[in-house]
Amino acid sequence: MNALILTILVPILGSFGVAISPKRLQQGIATSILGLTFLSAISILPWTIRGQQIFFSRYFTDWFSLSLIADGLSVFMAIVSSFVGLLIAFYSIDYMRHYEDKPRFFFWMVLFIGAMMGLVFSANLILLFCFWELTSVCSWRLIGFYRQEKDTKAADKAFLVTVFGASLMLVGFVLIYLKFGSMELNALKGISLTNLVAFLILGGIVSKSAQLPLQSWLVDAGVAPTPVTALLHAAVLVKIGIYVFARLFNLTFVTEPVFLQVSVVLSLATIIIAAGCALVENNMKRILAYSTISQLGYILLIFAFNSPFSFKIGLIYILAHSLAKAGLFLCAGIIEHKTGTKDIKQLGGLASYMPYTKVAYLLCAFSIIGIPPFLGFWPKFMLVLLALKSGQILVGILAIVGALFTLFYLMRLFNAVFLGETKIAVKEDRSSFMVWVVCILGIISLLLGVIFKLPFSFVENIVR
Amino acid sequence: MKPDLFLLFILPLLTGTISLFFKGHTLSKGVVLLSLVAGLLFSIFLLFTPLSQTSFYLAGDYTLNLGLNILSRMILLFVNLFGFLICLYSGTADFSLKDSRLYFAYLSWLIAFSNLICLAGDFILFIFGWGATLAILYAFLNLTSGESANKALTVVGFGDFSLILGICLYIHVSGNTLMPERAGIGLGNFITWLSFILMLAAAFAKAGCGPLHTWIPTASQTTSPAVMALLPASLDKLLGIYLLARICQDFFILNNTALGLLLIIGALTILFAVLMALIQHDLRKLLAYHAISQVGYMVLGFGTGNILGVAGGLFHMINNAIYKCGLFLTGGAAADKRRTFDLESLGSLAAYMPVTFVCGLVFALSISGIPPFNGFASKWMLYQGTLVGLFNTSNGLMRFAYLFALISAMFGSTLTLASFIKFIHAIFLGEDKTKDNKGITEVVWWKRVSVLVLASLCLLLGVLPRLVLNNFIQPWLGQRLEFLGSWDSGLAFLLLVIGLFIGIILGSDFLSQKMRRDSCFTGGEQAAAGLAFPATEFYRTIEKLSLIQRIYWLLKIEALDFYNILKSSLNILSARFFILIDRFIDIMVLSCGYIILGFGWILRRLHTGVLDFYLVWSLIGLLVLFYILR
Repeated sequence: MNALILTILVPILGSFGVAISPKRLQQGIATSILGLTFLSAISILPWTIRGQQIFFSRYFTDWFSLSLIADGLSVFMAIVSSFVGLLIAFYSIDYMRHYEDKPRFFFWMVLFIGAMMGLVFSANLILLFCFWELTSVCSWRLIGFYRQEKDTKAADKAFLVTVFGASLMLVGFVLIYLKFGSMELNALKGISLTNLVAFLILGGIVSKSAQLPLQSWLVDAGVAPTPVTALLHAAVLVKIGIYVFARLFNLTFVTEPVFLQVSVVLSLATIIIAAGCALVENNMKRILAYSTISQLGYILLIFAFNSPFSFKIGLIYILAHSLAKAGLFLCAGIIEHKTGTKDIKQLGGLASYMPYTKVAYLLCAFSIIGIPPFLGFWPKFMLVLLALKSGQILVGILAIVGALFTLFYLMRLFNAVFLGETKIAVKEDRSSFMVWVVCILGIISLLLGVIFKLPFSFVENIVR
Repeated sequence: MKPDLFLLFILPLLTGTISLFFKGHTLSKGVVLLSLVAGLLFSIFLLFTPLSQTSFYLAGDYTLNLGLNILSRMILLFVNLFGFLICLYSGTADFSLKDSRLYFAYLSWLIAFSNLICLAGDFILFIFGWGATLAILYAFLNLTSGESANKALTVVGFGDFSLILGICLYIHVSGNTLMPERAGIGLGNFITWLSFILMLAAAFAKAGCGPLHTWIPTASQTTSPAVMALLPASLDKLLGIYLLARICQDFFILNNTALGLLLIIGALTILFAVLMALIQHDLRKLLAYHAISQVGYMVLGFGTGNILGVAGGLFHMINNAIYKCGLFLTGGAAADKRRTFDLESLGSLAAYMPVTFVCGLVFALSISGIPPFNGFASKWMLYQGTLVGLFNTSNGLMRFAYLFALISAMFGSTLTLASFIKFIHAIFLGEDKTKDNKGITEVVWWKRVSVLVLASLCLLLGVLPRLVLNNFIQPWLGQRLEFLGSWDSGLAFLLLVIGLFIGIILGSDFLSQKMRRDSCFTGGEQAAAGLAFPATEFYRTIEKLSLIQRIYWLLKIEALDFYNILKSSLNILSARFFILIDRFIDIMVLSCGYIILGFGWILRRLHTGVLDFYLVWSLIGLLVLFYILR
């Protein structure tokens, strides 16, 4: 119980601690807070492995109580998000070294992680919604960090689109309360939702996780500092929608078949279209943003199958994507940091100058593409297997087509940046935290794929 | 789970990882070599142990199965043999010193995952090992050229994704993740056909059969001959054809359409690839196109649909891997000494590198199908298999397919011989280049060992083909091989040796004292000084034939390059998605934003700051309220 509350309170309260602490200590304090958050999340693991769940509830009104739940899904999400967030914090030490406004950055970053922790452990729909909107506020401030006009415009766009979706979701929650008289997830378990309510909630999920047709904000959010885009696009923000989908539609409510079928169609369309768009772009971060949209489509598709096995595969995909996509964004950040540009047409021939970044990029890219023996292969293969076993042949075919697109756009990015003629010659700083972090992410993506029993066993044990 | 089989995967995997931490390439090579020796010995030991399978749980309803069958046992043996020989051969010419640790690590990992493919008893483990070899192929090629690595990744990657889809379709139909043995499903509907075609695509891409072959010539121009010998020449062939064998014999029951398809693809691959090889001046590209051409024979063998042809295809897989590997190593050795791969710049190396020359000659005669070497033995079986198919079918289209295949195979062999006469002449014979060859010596002893082992195998399997046929291929096929005619390789070899012996005796000093030595007879004409006919000009006449010229034009502009077709198609689709969908949605979102801003503008305009105006609005509001509440 204490660990559960600590996991939420440490980063939320700690963010204010970061804001008021001396400037030279702020980076260290922020990183330590995120480390503590990760350790707190890990400490809850023994209970979930034993199949136990931890509950906490403090009643306020009929529709709102401070209800928290620590089960396999929430602990898994907390561990993955806090771990990747911690690595990004280490990366930020060198990346943000020359920026003046570091306090603001670390405050919002730590608060962001805190909001994520609160969201994944929420067992009340309104409490969940509060943390959901808190993440929107944090991301709004982080996307517009540089305070230039294009940055604030992108931040406003992200905020407005996600708030629009959140409003739809809130309407859905209100309709649930009006019909069933409760906002508690435990009390609502097993009830059937009408299509209207389900689609309203899906509207919120689609906006947060940047799925078609509310995806364009994520691409424009690439104007933010690299640690922010890594946090948004890989570790935290975009996974929120997926988490809520899994929590509500796989573990809590019963939906009509047409809802899941629509989710499948929406995911497929997102996978293919976003992947195609990535092949057209020339901005590194925009390419990776489209890639995120596409890959999230895969994860949503897996959860839309709504079976115990697909649920576990979805979790592995979240893990694989968080690690590898964070690595890709952080690699892009290193390149941007050194060369001063995100335009791949102005880059080239960096392989010999940045060999560690090159290797880290390849390791993470292969995982995203789904090439064995990387971790990303397993959920992608299982997805196609699931689709074809359930007779959805077109789904399987389109999933493979999406994977082909993924291969093309990630290798196009690699070729443009690392091969060919050198246009801007820079040197990689091998002692930098940035390089170490991307290498760690790449190696973990490889190791967990080779020792595939480990992630499978982990997921099997914590999610029964 | 039995720990012993899994060692074949774990040991080279760990060794490769450990070798990354050594400073010198000698230590890396030594460690990896030791591990590969252990693997080779273990795979020999497994030949004498009973076959068994073990399984372990993965997740959900899925278990993974590890085990060997007769065919995979043979493949395992040769995978480890080639891995060992190429590791032994590899020297600093094959990698830059700073890449040496990576080179040996990749080699070790490649053997690990290739072993895993042989050990896989279920589709999931199979595709895992299969896909991992793609990543290692990319890594190897990336050591020297990113562009060729990218092309290989794309083409072979397409094959791998096709395999995933094909396997999943198969599992959907069969309801089982286990790889069946002799329990194939018929090609009765669209799904089974789609599964068959997709799996074929994977096998073709890996083995380098048309139309998924274009990565091999591109890779050959930038990669070291040792890597070419390892990957497209031997390991990829073994694994690709192993998959093809399982598809044709175990997974599916092929009908005439499928057999005809294999025959035509095989025949066209033989022809087009050998025609391209004939005009090459770069020895790597020449060998690369021949590697592609030889795959055509293997595919053709499976297309015959009879035991002789299938056995011939399998036997040719082994033989081709041996002599193709040897050709890359010997050709590469010669080119390394002269620092060029251009056939026009090489020549008269036989006197300086006699062992390399003799081994190269053996490999060249083998690939050309000259008895008593192994290439002849397998090609002879393939011709017989095609003839048997031709005689036994009454279907007109199939008769055409068999005939076309037979003619292509024989014509292909002729052109192969022609090509390798050029190869041998250009590198080892030809114009005297003593000035350029000054200081050149034979390769170091360990390289000689590698190529001598391969050359010996060419001879051994040519004289005693039953060693492989009776111990591996026939038991796996489960039927006795009945050959046409009465060719006896052992007797032929004996007669050949006797003939050579007689020739040596006649030419020896004992008899030569009774003979008169004179200069070569040139019909009374004086040979013009400096008259030389370079080997690269041998087949200029063929190249200038109008039909052949058109074919060459098509092949040279890469109009049929699968990589270019795939890339263009995806680019066109992407542009459509981007403009018609993504940008349209973005415009809609922005429009909504502007509409909201427009409402805001209107509301701002209504805030005039004048009290009277607000009073009027309040009055209107009150009136509306009264109306509602009346």
